[in-house]
Amino acid sequence: MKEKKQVRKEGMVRGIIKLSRNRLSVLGAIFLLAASLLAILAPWISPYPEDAYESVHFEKQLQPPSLKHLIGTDEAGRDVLTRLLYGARISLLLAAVVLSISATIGIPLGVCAGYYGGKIEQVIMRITDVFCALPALVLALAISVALSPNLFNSMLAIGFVWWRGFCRIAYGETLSVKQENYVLISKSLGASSLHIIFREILPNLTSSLTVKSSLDAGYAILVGTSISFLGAGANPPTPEWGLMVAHGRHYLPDAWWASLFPGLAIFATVLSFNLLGDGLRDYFGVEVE
Amino acid sequence: MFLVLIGVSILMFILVRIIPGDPIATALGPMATKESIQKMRHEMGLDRPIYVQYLLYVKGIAHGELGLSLTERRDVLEIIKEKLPATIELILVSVTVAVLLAIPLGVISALHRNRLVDHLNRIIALFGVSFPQFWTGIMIQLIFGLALGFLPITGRLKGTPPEVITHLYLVDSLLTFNLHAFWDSFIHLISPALVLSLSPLANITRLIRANMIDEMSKDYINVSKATGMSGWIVSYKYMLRNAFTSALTMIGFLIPLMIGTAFVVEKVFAFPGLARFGADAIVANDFNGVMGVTLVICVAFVIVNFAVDELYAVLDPRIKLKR
Repeated sequence: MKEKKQVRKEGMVRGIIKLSRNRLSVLGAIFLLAASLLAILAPWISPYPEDAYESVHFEKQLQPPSLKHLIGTDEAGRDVLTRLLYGARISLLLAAVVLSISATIGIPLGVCAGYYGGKIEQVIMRITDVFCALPALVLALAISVALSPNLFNSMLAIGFVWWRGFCRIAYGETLSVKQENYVLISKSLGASSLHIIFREILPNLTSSLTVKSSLDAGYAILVGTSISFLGAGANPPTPEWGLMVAHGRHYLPDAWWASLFPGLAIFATVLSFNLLGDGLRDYFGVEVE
Repeated sequence: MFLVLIGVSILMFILVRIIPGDPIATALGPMATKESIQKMRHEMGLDRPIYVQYLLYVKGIAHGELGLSLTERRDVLEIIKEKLPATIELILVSVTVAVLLAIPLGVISALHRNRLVDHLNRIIALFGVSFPQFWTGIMIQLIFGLALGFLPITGRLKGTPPEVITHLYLVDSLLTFNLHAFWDSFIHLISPALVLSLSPLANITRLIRANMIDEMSKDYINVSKATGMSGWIVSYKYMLRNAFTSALTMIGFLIPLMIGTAFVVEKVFAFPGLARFGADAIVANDFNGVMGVTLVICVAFVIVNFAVDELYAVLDPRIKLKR
C-alpha cells in the first residue's frame, strides 16, 4: 500500500516537472492564477470600487490614462481599471458556470450513450447532432434571448449549448475504452455497470476532458463576451468586458482606452487558457477536437 | 441529415415561441391598441396551440413561405434572397484566405520543426484563436480605416453594384468587366474577411503542421527521397496532398463556426449580409426571421458536410474504393 502511494507521488512530481518545462503553459497558468486573485480581491484592491456598477461622474467623463486613472475613464466617468478588475470576476465565473453545466449534462449522456449503445445511444446522439448543427454563438444567443437577456441567463445559455462537445468526447472515449480487456475482465468477474462506468471508464476520460475544459474555457469566454457585445447578455451598467467594448466603441477614435483595454483583457485571459490547454494536451498526449 | 433539420427546426421553434413578453406588442410599438395586437396575433396564427403553429409553419415552407419578419416588415424569404449572397461571398473569401495562408505556414512549420519559424507560427496561431473577433474588427477599423485611411470602415460597396448575375459582387463585376465595382467590393471585403479568417487560419495551420509531421515519418517519403526526387516535390506534392486531405474534414467543421463568427463580424462592419440580419432578428425577438436564418444555416451545414465528403473522395481515391 505504501509503495503504491510512493509511486503515485513520484508520478505526480514527474508530471509537474514535465508540464513546467512548457514555459508558455506555465505563463498561462500564472496569468490565470493572478487574474483569479485580482478578481477575488477586486473590491479591496481596485482604485475606485464604487465605480464598478452604476455610479456616474460627468465631470471626469472619458479622461485619458493618467496617474489618477491608470487606463482612463469611460463615458460615465468611471475608472476603467476598476471595471476591468470586476469584469475579471464575471468572465472567470462564466467559464466556471459554462464548464460545470456542460460537464454535468454532457459527460453522463456521452458515457451512457457509449456504454449502453442501442436505442439509448441513438436517441442521445441524434439529440446531440441537433445541437451540433448550429454554431455555438447562434444557439446560445437564441437561448439567452428566450430566457430573457441578462448576464446569468447568457451563462446558462452557453452551458446548455456547450454540453454537446463534452457529450461527443465522452461518447467517443467510452466506445474505445469499452473495448479494452480490463473492462471485459471486470465484466466477466461480475462487476456491475455502475462499477465499470465509475471505476473503469470515467478515470480514463479525465485526461481528454481536462484538456477540453481548458481549451473550451477560453472559447466560452469569447462566446460570452460576444453575446454581451451583441446586446443579449449582460445589461449596463454591469462591468462585463464585451459590453465595455460595445459602449467604448461609440467614443472612438478619441477615447480609444475605453474599448482597447477591455479587449486586451479578454485576449489575455483567452490566450492563457489556450496556452494552458496546449501544454496539457502535449502532456497527456491526447487530441481533442 | 434530414432528421437533424427537423430536430433543429423544432428546437428553434420552441425557443422562439417561449420568449417572455409579446413580440407583436413590441413590434407594433407602444401606440398599438389591444384590438390591433389581437388582430395581428390572429393573422400570424399565434393564438393557436404551438404544435399547430409548427405544422402550419412546415406547411408554409413547402409552399416557399417563411412568414413575415417583424424587424424588416417584409417576407423572410425575400430578405434571405437579398442578404444571403453577401454572407456567402464573405465566408468563401475568408475560407480561401485561411486555406491559402495556412498551407504554406503549416508546411514551413513542419519542415522547420521547433525552429524559430515554427515557434513564430505557433504564436501567431495561438493569437488567432484568442482574439475576440468583435474587438479585432474594431481595432482594424480604427487602424486601417480611421488612422491610415486605407480601407473602408463599413458596408459592402460604396458605388453602384455590378449587374446582377450571381449576386456575388466579386464574381459579377468580373463577369461584366466592371473593374471599378470589383475593386470597390474587394476593398470592402478585406477587413471583415481578415477578421473572419483568423481563427480558421490558426486551426488549419496547426492541423496541417501535425499531419505533415505524421507523413514525414512514413516509408514512401524515404523511397521518394532515395530515388533522388527534390525535397520540394516530395513535400508539396506528395506529403501535402495527404496532409491536406485529412485537414479537409476540419474545414467542414470550421465553416459552421465561421457562420457563427459572421454574426459578430457583420455586425461590427455593418456588412449587409444574412448573419447581421440574424443577429438583429434574435435580439429583437423576430421569430420568423430567426427561424429563417437558422434553417439557412442548417441547410448550409448539410451542404458543406456533403461537399467535404465528396471532395475527400476526389483527393483520396482510397475512399472511393472502400465505397
